[in-house]
Amino acid sequence: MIAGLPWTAWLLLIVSVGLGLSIVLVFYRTHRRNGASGSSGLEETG
Amino acid sequence: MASYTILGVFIAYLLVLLGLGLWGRRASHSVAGYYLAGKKLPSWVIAFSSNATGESGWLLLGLTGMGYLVGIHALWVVLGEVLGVTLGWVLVARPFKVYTDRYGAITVPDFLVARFRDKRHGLRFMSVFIILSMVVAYLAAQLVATGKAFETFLGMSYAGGVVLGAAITLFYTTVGGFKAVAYTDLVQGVLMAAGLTVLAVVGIGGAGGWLPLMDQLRAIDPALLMPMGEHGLSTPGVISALGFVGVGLAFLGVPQLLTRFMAAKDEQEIVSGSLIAVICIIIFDLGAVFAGMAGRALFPGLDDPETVMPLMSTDLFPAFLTGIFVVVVLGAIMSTVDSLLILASSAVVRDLVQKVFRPDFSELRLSRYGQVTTVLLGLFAIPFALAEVQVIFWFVLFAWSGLATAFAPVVLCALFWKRTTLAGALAGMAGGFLTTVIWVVAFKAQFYDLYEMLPGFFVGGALTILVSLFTKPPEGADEEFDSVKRVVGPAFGRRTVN
Repeated sequence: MIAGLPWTAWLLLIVSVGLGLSIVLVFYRTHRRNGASGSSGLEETG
Repeated sequence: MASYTILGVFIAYLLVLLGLGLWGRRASHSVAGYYLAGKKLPSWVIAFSSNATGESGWLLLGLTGMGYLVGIHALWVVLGEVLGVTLGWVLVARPFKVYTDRYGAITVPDFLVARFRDKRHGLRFMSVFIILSMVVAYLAAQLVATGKAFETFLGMSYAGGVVLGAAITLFYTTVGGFKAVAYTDLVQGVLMAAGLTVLAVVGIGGAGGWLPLMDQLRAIDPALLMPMGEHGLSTPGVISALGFVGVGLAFLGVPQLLTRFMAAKDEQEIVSGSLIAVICIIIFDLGAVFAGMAGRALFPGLDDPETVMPLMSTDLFPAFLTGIFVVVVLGAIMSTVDSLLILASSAVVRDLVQKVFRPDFSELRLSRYGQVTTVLLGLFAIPFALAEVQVIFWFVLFAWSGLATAFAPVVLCALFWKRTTLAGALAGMAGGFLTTVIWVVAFKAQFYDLYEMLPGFFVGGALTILVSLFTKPPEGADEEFDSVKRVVGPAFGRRTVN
């Protein structure tokens, strides 16, 4: 029991919020960087 | 005195909506202007508008009621919705935007017809039928919620509430089109986020704080604090959790949300909007669930758990803030009603009149037809609402599922699998939609009330893939698919050009 809730409830709460938030943060950081690095973030690979 | 204060807040809100309706009028003289605000919307607007549209009165009354009834078990809805919104923005939004810009698409059927080169309009007719049938059911349920909200908060008659709510929404939707709808959604979404946060914090405080609240809930029923609820880790418990998660699948492709991606100014607005949308949905959902749980401790033994939010707002707050909560509830309902009206109107005017029967009509004439159709659809839904449909949120969840299972699997296949064919899309759309209806009528009760979204989504996706494997993809779709993929790039890496 942590702060009145079973640990499984905390786990569900953390996953509910954390999973989506982590994915969108990685997406946001990637594309803001790409957008800011000029040429729409395009990278020549040969 | 208190009711005058509430009324004053409500009238101020009404004036804001009417002002936005008149302000949006300038953009509504063409079909693209009336139905997509000229594709010029910024990130904040599309993010709040998509969430406010997706959530409806169900969030304020239904999800708080769910938190009241099942406690922590309702977090499975949060998981489903947060993941659904995240994947919708991260995976679906950008390729959908690129495709629809290339096609000059204004509606989701426009996209499907162009993607699958459907010259006989089969996808268009089927889409229009599904959109109209589901939207009328959805609209009627939302207008019932409007009538009940006016009745509960302002002491109006139920019928008067339905008619007044419909009249306000019809005015700004008809006059201002999608631009007015999107910006009023922004106002309504901000109010919903703020209102639910305050409600949850004050509710928890009213119960004596976090730990006393948990103690009280445990004393009422220990299952309220368990992730698998009263059923525990059993078949009914798992099915209930899966059904709750399934609510979020619709965020991957219901037409009323996809139009927000189309209306974005550019791809960068989608990137910015993604973060706003996910944070917004987290605030919406956690606020509703924890407010409901606090309500269970404060007002145990309610006959109807869906009255907990109105009860908390009138009991815990002074009249001015109660007035704000009235506006929040009505805003949640109206933000969905206006979007459904625009969606159904676009299905009639763009998909049938302009694209099938009278392509020769001028843009101005079609936009006027759009306004008239919006009014007629609203008037058509009012008698259903006046008959007072008893099970509001059952209806909402059914229509939500009907639209999602018809469109989302097909849209996902169209965006991510180049082998998808016209026959596959037709089979998937019909199969997903019919499975939703048949599941509710014939099977749901025998399978622990498993939410129709899951079988509908599965059948819709499976049929799209299976039929596509045995039929020929449209000419040129392969090259087009690769080209869009190159432009969009990967969701999590740097774009590459060969």
